[in-house]
Formats: sequence, structure tokens, C-alpha cells
Amino acid sequence: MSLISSWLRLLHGPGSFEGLMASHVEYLYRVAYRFCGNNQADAEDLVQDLLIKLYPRVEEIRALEHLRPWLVRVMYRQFIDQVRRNKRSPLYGADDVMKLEIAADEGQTAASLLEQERLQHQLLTAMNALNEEQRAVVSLHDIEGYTLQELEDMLETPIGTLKSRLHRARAKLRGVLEPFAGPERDTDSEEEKWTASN
Amino acid sequence: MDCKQLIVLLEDYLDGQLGEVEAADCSNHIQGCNVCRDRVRGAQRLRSMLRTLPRTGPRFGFVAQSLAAARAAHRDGRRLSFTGAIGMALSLGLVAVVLMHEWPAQHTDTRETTLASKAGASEQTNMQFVNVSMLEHRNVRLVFDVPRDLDQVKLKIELPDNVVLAKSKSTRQLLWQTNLSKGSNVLTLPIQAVGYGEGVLSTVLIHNGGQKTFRLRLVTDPDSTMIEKPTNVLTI
Repeated sequence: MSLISSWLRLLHGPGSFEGLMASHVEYLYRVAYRFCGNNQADAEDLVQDLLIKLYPRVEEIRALEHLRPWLVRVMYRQFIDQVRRNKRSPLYGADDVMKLEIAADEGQTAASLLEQERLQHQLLTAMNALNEEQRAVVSLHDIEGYTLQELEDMLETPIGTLKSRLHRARAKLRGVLEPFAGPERDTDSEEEKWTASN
Repeated sequence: MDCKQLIVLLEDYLDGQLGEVEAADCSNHIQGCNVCRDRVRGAQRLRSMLRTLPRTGPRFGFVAQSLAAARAAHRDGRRLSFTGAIGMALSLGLVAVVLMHEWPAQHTDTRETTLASKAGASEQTNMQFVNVSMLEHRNVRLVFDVPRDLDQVKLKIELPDNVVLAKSKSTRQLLWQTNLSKGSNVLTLPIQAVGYGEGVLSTVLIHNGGQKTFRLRLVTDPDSTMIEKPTNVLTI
């Protein structure tokens, strides 16, 4: 438990809202950050809205045996609701702003980044291009390590649907990484040549 | 098993979702097929990269601030419902603009009053404001709340000198035409403070020969830091 979590538990008591939630906020932020396509402000908003929504439910939270998966489930529902609400707005995809953001993202791939960082950047960009449901399942399964069985309950989605989202998402992400697989293969073949000629 | 069958089962194979017999079939095929070995390598590489992506934690102070904000929002009854704000705008029968962001300034308890005066007055004297720390990236949300569908609304947003658009620093003005749906229409402006002082972000809506201007003060205080952000939060 982090220092701030311990302090909040001490200050408000272990059964208080702060005491119960403090050790989960950082984790929720991390998951929210992935859900929101690596956008800090949106992730903060999502977590903040979740905490405000949950504050009156402290008794319910206290009674939960496995709090973290439950919190992720509530946050996921809130995230999807929010996405649906935003998508109904005609300004959500306002061309001018979207173009600006895309152009800026491309520009951010600085030539000076190391190869690993460049790949990570490509991967994060590709993750942003997934739809919200695909991004959520990749974040929770492939990054956070939840099993599909756990996610079936957590996201209240049949396992077949989860698999389908996951497989489609990975296929898209692999497509992004493929152009960067070249040097690795070249290195292998160089090694093979070297071994063969020696 | 052939390559086509392996492709169908590959993800389940690597996720350990296959039964023993199918998993063994896959292993046998992969051992004897260079192309599928590459496929497996590619899929494993993706998994490995996803697992090692940098883990981004919240900014310093967020945990305590967000919990304090949740408590404050309920304790003081200051959490205004966005529905209430919409009702206010509708009752005035005007195109209203609510300017919000994720860490609203401290005058949240007067927001409805402010909104009403904005919607009813051509010049605003009681302008909402946002504190922005120098170089901090901040999303300002513009929520355009309209009483009915409006076609071909021209929107013009002008940035003050002390901020830039976070991802397009040279753009000072955004201008476009769009349709607004009845209810709330959200636009997020990612801004970054680049100069100290105070400026006014102005938003002009032009429709059917008339126009309305709404303004938001953006204040960059040399003494403000990320930690000193106001912690009371208003959600919509």
C-alpha cells in the first residue's frame, strides 16, 4: 500500500470511503488511462466521476469481498455509457479538431526515439484506433492480466463476444507491428548465413 | 491440421483456451511449419509488448484530490446535476453554452446563476474562469446545449494569447459549420498554457442571422501549481 493510501486510511478510518478506495484509485486510473486511449484528462474525468458516483454507496462497497473487479466493472459501464452519449453529439467527431489531433500524433513520433519506444508509440497509437470495447478487453486481458472467464463476469459480456473482440483487436495491432518486424527477421537470416559460412 | 485451421485456433491456443487434443494438434503443426512458427512468434511478440507497455500512473496528488472531491461533492450538496443546467437553458428558450472542465474553479455553487445570466445577457460580467498551470495540458469542455435541432450553425472559437491548442500550437482560431442536436453537444478543446496572465476564450455561435458570444476566462497564475488546483468538482 502506498504512503498516500496508508495516510488516507489513517486519517479517515479503514471503513471510510477514502480508507476503502485509496489503494484502488491509482489502479483505476491506470485502467481508465488505457480505456481512454492514453488520454490523461479523460482518464482523470472517468475516475473522478466514478468516485463521485460511488461515494453514497460506501455501505455496499464495504460489504464487497472482491472490490477491485467490481470497481473495474462499474467504471467500464460508466465508460461505455459516456462513449455512447458522446457519440450522439454531432461535435464528437468534428473534422477540424480530429484532423488537428491526428496530424499532431504523427508529428509526435520523433525520429530520435529509440526503436522500442517507437514500437510502443506505434502500438499505443494503434490501440487508440481500436473501438472502445476492443480497447477495454485488450487492456484488461492482455495488459492487466484478467482471464476471459473473469472478464465475462466483470464486463457482463459472453465469453464468445469477448474472444471475438480480442481476436479482432489483436489482428489490428499485429498489422501495425508487422512493418517493424523486418529488421528482426533480417538479423535472424544474417545469423543463419554467418552460421552456415562458419 | 493445416495452416488455415491453425490460424483459426491460434489465439485460443496461445491463450490456453483449447482442450488437450486440439492444443497438441496445434503444437505438432507449428513444429513442422515455418510459416505458422512466424505467426506464433508475431502473436507472442504482440502479447509481450502489451505486457511491457509503460504503466502510466496518475499525476502527483490525484488520489487524494479525487477522493476529497468525491466527499466534497456530496457533503456540501454542491454537485449540480447537468439536467438542472439543461432545464435552466431550456426554460430561457435560448441557445446556451456551458463551459466546463475537469477541475472547475471554486465558484461551482454559483454555476446555475452564472449560466442563467449568460444565457440571458448579451454581455457577461460574471464570467466563469479556469486556472491553468504553466505548460499544463488541460481539456476544456464546451457543452453546447440547445433546445431543438439546429442546422448549419457556424461556430467560431478564438483562443487568448496565454494558451495554445495542445496539439496545434499555431492555431489561434477554429471556425466551422455543423448541425447541433437537441440537448447537449460536447466539444473538448485540449489546451496548454504558454504565458502568464489572463485571457478570454471566446465562442461565437451564429445561426439564422443571429449570433451569441460566450466567454471563459483562462488564468495562468505564476503561483499556481498542479497541487494547488481547486479540488471541488462539478460533474455533468
